[in-house]
Amino acid sequence: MSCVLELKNISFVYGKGTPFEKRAVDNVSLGIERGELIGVIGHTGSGKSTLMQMLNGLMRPTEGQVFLDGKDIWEKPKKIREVRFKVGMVFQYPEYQLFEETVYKDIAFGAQNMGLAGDELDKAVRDAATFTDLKPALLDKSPFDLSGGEKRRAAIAGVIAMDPEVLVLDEPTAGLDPMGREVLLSQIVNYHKARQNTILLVSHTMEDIARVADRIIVMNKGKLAMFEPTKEVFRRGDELENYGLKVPQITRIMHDLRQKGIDVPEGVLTVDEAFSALLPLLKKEGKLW
Amino acid sequence: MSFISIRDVRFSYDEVAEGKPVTYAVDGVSLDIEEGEFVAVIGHNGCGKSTLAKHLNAMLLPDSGKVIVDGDDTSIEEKTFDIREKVGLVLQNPDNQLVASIVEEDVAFGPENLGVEPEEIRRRVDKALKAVDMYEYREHAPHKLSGGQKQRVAIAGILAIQPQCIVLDEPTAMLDPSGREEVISTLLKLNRDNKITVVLITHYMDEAVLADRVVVMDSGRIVTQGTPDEVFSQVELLKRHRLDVPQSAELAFRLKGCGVKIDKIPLTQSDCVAALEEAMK
Repeated sequence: MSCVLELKNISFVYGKGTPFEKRAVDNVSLGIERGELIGVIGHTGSGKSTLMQMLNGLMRPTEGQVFLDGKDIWEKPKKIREVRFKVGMVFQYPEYQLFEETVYKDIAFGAQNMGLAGDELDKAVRDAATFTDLKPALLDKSPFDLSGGEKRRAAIAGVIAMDPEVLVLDEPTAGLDPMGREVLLSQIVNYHKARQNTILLVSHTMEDIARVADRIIVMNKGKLAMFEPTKEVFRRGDELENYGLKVPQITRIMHDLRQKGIDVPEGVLTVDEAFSALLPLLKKEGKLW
Repeated sequence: MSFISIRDVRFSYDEVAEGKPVTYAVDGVSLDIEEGEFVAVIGHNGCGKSTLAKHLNAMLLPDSGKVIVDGDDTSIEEKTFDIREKVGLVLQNPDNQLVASIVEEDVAFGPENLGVEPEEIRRRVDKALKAVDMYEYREHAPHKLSGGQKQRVAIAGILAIQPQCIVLDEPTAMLDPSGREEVISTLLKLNRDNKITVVLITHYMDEAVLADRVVVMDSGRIVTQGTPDEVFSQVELLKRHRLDVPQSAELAFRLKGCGVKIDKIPLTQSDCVAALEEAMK
């Protein structure tokens, strides 16, 4: 399979040559395959945000190279704008970036800058609004009249309208209530399925990552600590705790049951999985009444 | 009398004019908070919980109804500062709450403004920083700290005012798992050892589980309240109000629904393991 993004020995040093020099990203190499949904986890200051900002050329690595579709993105620095169209970035609390008169115009802004116009632009905006479940009636409203959750989705729609090959979402569910988190997460998954594009999802909520990610990037102190399939990462709970991270509660519960000699599978990541594993077991033992 | 007594409070952000429909962010809430209690308030975005929190130290005043803090009505202007000394507020984003360039100066900001004597300020700052386990960082720059550390400094800044109660509005929403744990264990410690009343507003059910009492809000009203066991066993009610339960409770609830014998819905990892082991026997 071909890698859509490839990082070769990239590092980023803040304040180089000053007393405040800090190596935020330290010699990271990895390849992300087309169509993957990658979770990105790491404690505050682990370098994950810096790493994400190097993926679309918002920050230029002080060492190493970033390849998008096999091409070094910094080969022609003047063309970096095109990279930003291909790698869409949704920052934390993106609702603070809304600015246009109407929701429609706000969603259209990025796509318009890419050169989309007329029907093509209209379709891009409406599709993006559908993916993020913004009703057509909302499109003519001022973005500032929307609820918090709607604002967040409008901001995400603005990036989706650009139809990026790679979409980077930095903590898209932070501050949302449980249902809001759930809804947004399933919208992201549906979008991913429909477009078959590549998504990187940065989150502090391990339960969310466990549910949706194919593979997980674990950052620690600027270094790539793990890059493995989701089950594999959450199997290494002790290691994750050393990195200031955690394993979902359900995974820990099933792990403990296994330790106590109950025959449940290893690496259970969701309540659904746990339920399907336990119910037949309890049935077999005749423990239902 | 309770430390904080909320009586039939209604509050709207809309301009109240005759003939105009008004939506109330807080719509008839009565709630008593006892001294030394740890109360968690949960509810979906826009349910009115943050608006209610701002009523607890006179940041907002009710349109109708009353909030009495330690015997004082928050709507009496002369009492505002007394009330804010008694009830401190910590918000979601630590970066918006830190004002100084050195940790201990930031913590000193509150007592300085109250005109506390310099020696007393020194004593309070040291004590507050020790209470949140940030004393070693007293000479550091706040912007270089981790999210959990910043939030603990913000809490220390409130402690230096020596309040009887701290109200926190989603203090962990922006933190990583270990930062969340740091803040929550700090709150539990302050509540247990320093007898500080804590009102914690959160979207994280695993945090609410640790409180003495959980209050559930929706559409500006209190839907239900009780001990964590009482509240989180009502899985369907919580889901109806756009909330969730800890994964342990969800699993147990679904198994119970299929006829597995589980007496009490478990809220923690260890309780869940024990309950399932019991069911296997």
